[in-house]
Amino acid sequence: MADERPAVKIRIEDLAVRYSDGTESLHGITLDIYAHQVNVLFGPSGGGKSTLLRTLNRLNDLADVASQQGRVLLDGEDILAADYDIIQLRRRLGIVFARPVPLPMSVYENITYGLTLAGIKDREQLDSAVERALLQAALWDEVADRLTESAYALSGGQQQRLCLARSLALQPEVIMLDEPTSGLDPISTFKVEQTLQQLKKDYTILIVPHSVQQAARIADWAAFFLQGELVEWGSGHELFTAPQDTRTEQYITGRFG
Amino acid sequence: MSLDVNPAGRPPDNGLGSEPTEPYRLVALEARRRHVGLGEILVERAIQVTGISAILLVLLIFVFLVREGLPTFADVPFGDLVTQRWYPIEGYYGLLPLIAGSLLITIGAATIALPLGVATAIFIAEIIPNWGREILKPFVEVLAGIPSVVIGFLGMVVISPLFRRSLNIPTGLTAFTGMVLLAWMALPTVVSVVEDVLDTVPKTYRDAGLALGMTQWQTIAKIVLPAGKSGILTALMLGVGRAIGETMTVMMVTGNAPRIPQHPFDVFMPARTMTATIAAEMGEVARGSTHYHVLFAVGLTLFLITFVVNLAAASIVFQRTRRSERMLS
Repeated sequence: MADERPAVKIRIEDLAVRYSDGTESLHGITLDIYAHQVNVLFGPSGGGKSTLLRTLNRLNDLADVASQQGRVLLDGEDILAADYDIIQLRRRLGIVFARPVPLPMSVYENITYGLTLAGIKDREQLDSAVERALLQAALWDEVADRLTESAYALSGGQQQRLCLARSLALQPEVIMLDEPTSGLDPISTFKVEQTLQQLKKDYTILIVPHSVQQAARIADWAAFFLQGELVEWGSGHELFTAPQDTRTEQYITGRFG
Repeated sequence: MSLDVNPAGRPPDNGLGSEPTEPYRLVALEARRRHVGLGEILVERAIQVTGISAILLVLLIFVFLVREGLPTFADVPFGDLVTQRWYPIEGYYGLLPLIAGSLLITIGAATIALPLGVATAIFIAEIIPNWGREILKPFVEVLAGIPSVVIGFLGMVVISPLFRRSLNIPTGLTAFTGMVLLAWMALPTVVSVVEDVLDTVPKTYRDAGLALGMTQWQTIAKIVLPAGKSGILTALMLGVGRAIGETMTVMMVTGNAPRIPQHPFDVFMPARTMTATIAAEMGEVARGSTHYHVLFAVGLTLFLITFVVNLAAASIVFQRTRRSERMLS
C-alpha cells in the first residue's frame, strides 16, 4: 500500500456491534477514515456498513444494540465514551440518509433549523449560511427563488441535495452519506458525486455508495465489508485494480452480490 | 412443482430470497377465476346487503328524526325556539340553553382531553420502553370499555363531592364536573388515534432530527408532531364526537339546570345538555304533543352537529391520504 497517507480523522479500533436479535453486526473492525478524502464503505447489504455509520454518530444508541466493544477515536477522542456529548458529536458528523427526509417546513427553514437550535439567530448570518450550504450542495441555482416553498415541493433529487445542504449548514467536520443516490436518476447522481469531489476540500467524506461502480468512481479510500467483517481496505485505486483478498475480487468483478 | 430455488453451488446467505416466480402467481390467478361458484356469489351479495343496510339505517334515522321533529316548526314559532328559557310544562321551548350547555361541556372536555391524550400518546409511542408500552396500552383500552353509567356513578359519589368541597361551591354537579368526566371518557379514543398516527411517522424522520443534533424532545415537538398533525386533528374530532353524544354521564353529574352561562365562573354551575334533556324527558312526554316534537327537534340539531363534526374529521383524513400519496410519488 501507499506510503504517504493523509491525516487520520477517525480511527476505529477493534469495533464490534451486536444487535439483540443478532441480525446485523460488526466484528473486529479496525479502520482509519482519512481527513479531506472520499472514504468509501462498500459491500453487499447486511455487511454492517450502515451500522458502522450509525455507530459513528451514535444513532445506534436508540436501536436494539446488545453489545458494543472497541474504540472509535474522532481526532483522538473516544466518542463511544458514555459521557461524550452526543448532541455536539452529531453536529460534527453530519449524515445524509438513503431516502431524502426533508423536515415538514420550507426549504429555507429546513436549512436554518439546525442552526437556530445551535443558537444562531442573526438573520443575515442565517441567510448567508443558507446560500453557502445550497451552493455547496449544488442546489442554489434551482431553488434560489423557491426558498419559502415547502421542501416536499422539490423533486427527489433536489430533496436529497437539500438534506445534504442541511447537514453542510451546520459545518460538520465529517459528512456521512448512506446510499445517498439510491433513489436518484443518473443526472442527479452525477451532480451529487461531483459535489462530493468539491466538498472533500473542506470536509471528510464517508460514504456508503449504492453500487460497486459508484464506489470505484468516487473512492479515494475504500473498505470492503462482508457480513460484518472488514475484508480489506486501502486506497481506492489499489483496491479496485489489485485486490488482495479473493472475496473482494469476486465481489468487484460481479461474481456475487 | 418443486422447483429448486436454491440450487447447490450458490454461496450461502447471499441475500437472495426464494420468491415465487411469475408463472406461479399467474397459475394461482387462473385457478381463482375459475372457482367463482355459487358460494362466492352468495357471500358477495351478503356483504353487499350488510354494507348497503348500514347506509340505509342512517338515512332512515334521519328521515324519522325529520318526520317527528318537523311539526315543531308548525307548533312553535321559530322565534320562540331561539330564546333562553327551557320550561316545557309552561310552554317555553327555548333551545339556546341546551345547545349552549352541550357546546360548553363538549369544548371543555375536548380542551382537557386533547393535551392529556396527546401527551399520553407521546409517552406511550416515543418515550416508554417496550415493556412499559405493553402494560400501559391495555390499561388505556380498558378505560374505553368502562360503561358510561359507571363513570357517572363515580362522578356523583367521588368527583362531585370533591369539587364541591375543594372549590367551595354550592353543588358539585356542575358543567366542569361533566367536562372532566367526559374528557376522561374521550381520552382512550384520543390516545389510540394519536398513538397510531405517531407510529406511522417514519423512523427516518426521527433519525434525521437526531442526526441534526436535536434532542429527543425537540425531535418530537418539531418533527414527529407536525408530521402527525392531521391525525391529531382527527383525534380531536373523534373525541368531540364522543363527548357531544354522551348522555348518561352528563345527565348524572351536570346538575341539569337549563341556563346559558353568563360568566366564566358559570363553568362551576350546573348546566344541561341536549342529550340529557332528551333522555330525561322523553320517557314522560305525551306522544305527538308539542313537547314530544320539540325533543325530536333537539335530536335533529344534535344529529346535524355530530354530522358536521364527523364530516370535518373525514375531510381531514382524506387530506392526509392525498398528501401521503403525493409524498410517495
